[in-house]
Amino acid sequence: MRVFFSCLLAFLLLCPGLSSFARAEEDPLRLLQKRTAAINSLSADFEQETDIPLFSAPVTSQGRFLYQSPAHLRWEYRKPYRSGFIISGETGLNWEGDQKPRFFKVAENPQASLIFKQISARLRFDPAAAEKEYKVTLTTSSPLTVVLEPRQAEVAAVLRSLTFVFTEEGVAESVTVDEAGGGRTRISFTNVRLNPAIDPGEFQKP
Amino acid sequence: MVFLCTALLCLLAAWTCSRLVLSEDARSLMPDSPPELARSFALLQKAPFMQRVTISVGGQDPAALADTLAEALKGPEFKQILTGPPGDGKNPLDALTEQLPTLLDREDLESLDLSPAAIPAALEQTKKLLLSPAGPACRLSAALDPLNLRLLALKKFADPELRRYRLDGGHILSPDGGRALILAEPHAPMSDSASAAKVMARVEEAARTLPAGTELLVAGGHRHSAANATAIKGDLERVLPVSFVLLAVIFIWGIRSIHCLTALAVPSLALLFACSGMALLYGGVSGIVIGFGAVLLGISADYALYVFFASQGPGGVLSGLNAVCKPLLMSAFTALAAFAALMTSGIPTIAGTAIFSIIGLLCALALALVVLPLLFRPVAASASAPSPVPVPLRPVRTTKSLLPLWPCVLGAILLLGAGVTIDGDIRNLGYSTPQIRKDEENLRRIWGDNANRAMLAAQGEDFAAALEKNDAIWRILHDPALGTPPEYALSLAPMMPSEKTREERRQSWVAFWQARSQSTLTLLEDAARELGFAKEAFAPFAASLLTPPGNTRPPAFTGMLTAMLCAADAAGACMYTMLPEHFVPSPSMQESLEAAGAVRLSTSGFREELSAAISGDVKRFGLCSLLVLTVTAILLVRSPARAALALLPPAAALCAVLAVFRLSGMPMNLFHIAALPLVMGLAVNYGIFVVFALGGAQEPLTRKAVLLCALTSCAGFGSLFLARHPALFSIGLTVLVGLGTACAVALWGIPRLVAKGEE
Repeated sequence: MRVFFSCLLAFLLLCPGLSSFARAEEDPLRLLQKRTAAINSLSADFEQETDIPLFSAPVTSQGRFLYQSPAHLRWEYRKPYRSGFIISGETGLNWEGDQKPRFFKVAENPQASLIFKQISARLRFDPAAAEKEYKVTLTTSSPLTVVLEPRQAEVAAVLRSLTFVFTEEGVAESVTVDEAGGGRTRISFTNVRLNPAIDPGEFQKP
Repeated sequence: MVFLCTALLCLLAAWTCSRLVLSEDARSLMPDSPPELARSFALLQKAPFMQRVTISVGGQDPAALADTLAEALKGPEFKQILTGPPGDGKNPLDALTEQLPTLLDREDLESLDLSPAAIPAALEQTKKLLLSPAGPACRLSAALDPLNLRLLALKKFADPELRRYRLDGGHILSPDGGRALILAEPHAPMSDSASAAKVMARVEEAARTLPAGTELLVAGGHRHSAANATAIKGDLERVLPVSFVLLAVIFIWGIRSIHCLTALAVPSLALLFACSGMALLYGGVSGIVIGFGAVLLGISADYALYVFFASQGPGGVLSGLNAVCKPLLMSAFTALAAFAALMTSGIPTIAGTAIFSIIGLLCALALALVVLPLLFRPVAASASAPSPVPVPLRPVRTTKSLLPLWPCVLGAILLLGAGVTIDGDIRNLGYSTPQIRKDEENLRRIWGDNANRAMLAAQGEDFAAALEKNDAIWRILHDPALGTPPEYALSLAPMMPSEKTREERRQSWVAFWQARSQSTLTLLEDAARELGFAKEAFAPFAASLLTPPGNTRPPAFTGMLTAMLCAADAAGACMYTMLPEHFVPSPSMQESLEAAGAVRLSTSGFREELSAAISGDVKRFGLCSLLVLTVTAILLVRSPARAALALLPPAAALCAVLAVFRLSGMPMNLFHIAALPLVMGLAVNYGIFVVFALGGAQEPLTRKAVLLCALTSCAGFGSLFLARHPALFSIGLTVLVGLGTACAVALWGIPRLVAKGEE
């Protein structure tokens, strides 16, 4: 959970800012910090390809995610299984298929609280803070590729690296999670929209 | 020769005094009976959260702040400083799953649904998990446990309070991630006030290494001990000099000669000898007892005054001494009787106070009767000074108003006494600053209220034996045949069973899977193929079923739980199980728990039991002192009428004290009640002296002497009004109200109750 959230958060903090990276001439991470100050909402569809030793062949999942400032998040899978979770202020819920959603208090759910705090803190991207948790490397500029390697041994025991790839226009194309055990999960994002108007109901029920 | 001996004794006493150790230990406020209460208190004190200093740091990067503070705390004061679970590089979920054969008991295994429908369903859940955001962290545990058996183990660990802890990068963070927790275990017990002060000084010094604006909350018994010791030390530095100065003023006003300095030496030396006696008898003494020295100064000063006035009479020193000797001994006898009554208390501080006072009073009496007369010479200016020498006992006829007065006074005492509440909570006898209370409240809000949960303690001669008892307690709590189990139980048992239980479970695991492994693995293989899992995906699970599990070490994260739930010392180890405060086991469960060696501890329940024990204790020594005083007064005055008059001041004093508490609604604490026998002991003295002097030529002089003595006593007790410590302040309040009333009744009440013609 923690590892995937790290990927997710890293995507959230890097995606919008780096979208205009190609056009920038100054330090890309500093520029990213400036650009992310204007983010209020975000939406995207995604396709996830999970290629791990436990599966005989890569498994593809599809879904979408939504973010609304200051602290609303929806992450949902639509295929092959319907499931997801929502964080909305002080409460959250998760669901599976047609089962009744389970509500929780963010204050009593450390993982949800972690997301809550990280999103609000990292959307206003702070390179120094990111550097504390990850070794941040810009590997190529075309396509723009950023690799994050965890510094904490506990996280590194599960996760080798997170690789973000952006299009020429600066829109996030994919994030690849390389696991310490040899597996790999690649999430490709489409229909990424910055600051769209999101129906509040999206953060209230599955 | 007398002077030489006195001087030598003084030097010896001063040397002994220098070895006296001041200590503040909550145990000295605990009654020694019933023994179960003392045992509960000892176990409660040993509880890890009681012995540790709990520190919460908040700021931009709480984990880094916790590391900085932990580093700065390192030193001789602390033996262990925990900022989080010690890491072993393993994912906690994986570590837990590896332990499954020793964490699941036979009932758990038999509850498993291994039917052809259930296994594919469980495997589908595993696949969903692997595809979810949590997936990357669950690869190994899924391979080891595709049927989610670990949920059975995790269910046992569902303590709502644990939701407040977030383990992150080897740190314990609050749910919002804004604060980090540090548990620091000092070498010294919290009862050692001198060491507690050093511990807190270390914490304060370490806190200075944190950046400005860091939120720092500190709580623990050591902080209370240090605060109490500081408060009492400050009180002693303030109260004793003030008491001494007040006495000096009264002596100068009353004696008006250089002899006032000689007379002042008596209370001062009485204090010195009392301290010296405590040093010889006990080595250490509570600051509360020493604070009582102010009272002792006030009482022992009376003896010097009586001897001085007697020695200044027209008959000379010897004649005066002869005359004053008997009433002085009577007075001392009643005061000593009052203090002796306090010795019946099972509360060490109260009994210690009595011994301290008795030593001081005996020394003061000896000094006043043996040494002072050798120093006093009649002073011309004070030739007419009052002498308390009583006239021979004469018949006394009281007025008619005395007869109905006593039932009224007794009725008032009963009425007022019935309406006064007793506060047996020893926390209220300790000194606590608003900052300490605020920090504790904030810590409870952020990290939960562990101190106010009910607990079961299991003691063993070593760690292994304590773990076995802990397992037994867990089984009893969750045995449906014994009653409703608690909503939750936070214990080491589900995560760290004893070696005996682990071995039993390994055997159960092997026996269970011997009959079922083949069919289960066949069903699993079919379902895995159907859901797209690799052929060897669950080989680790298959191996664990077919191969007897080895003796694996408990996961590293249990080290943190051990620190929270286990206490060990030279006497053995003690395991604590935390339960909801309101949980009351059924009688059969309680019986089984007791048979398993579990002791139920609850801070609120303990307070109630302690309150009852203290109430019983104060009733015992209160009644004892009343009886002793009444009998003493009757024996001394040798007449029912005179006794009825002499006992009026103490009765009025008791009435006044009760009225103050009844009308103010303030509850009486241990020290208010402990002071009552003293009030009555001194008050009966006033009554006796006034009754002795009634109608004689000495009556006006005696009344002046009584007034002077009451003033010295009030000066001693009154100075306790300046104390910040609740115990000392309580004594001051009670005695001031009581003695003020007793003095007024003795000086102005008693003469009006004697028939004119018979005076």
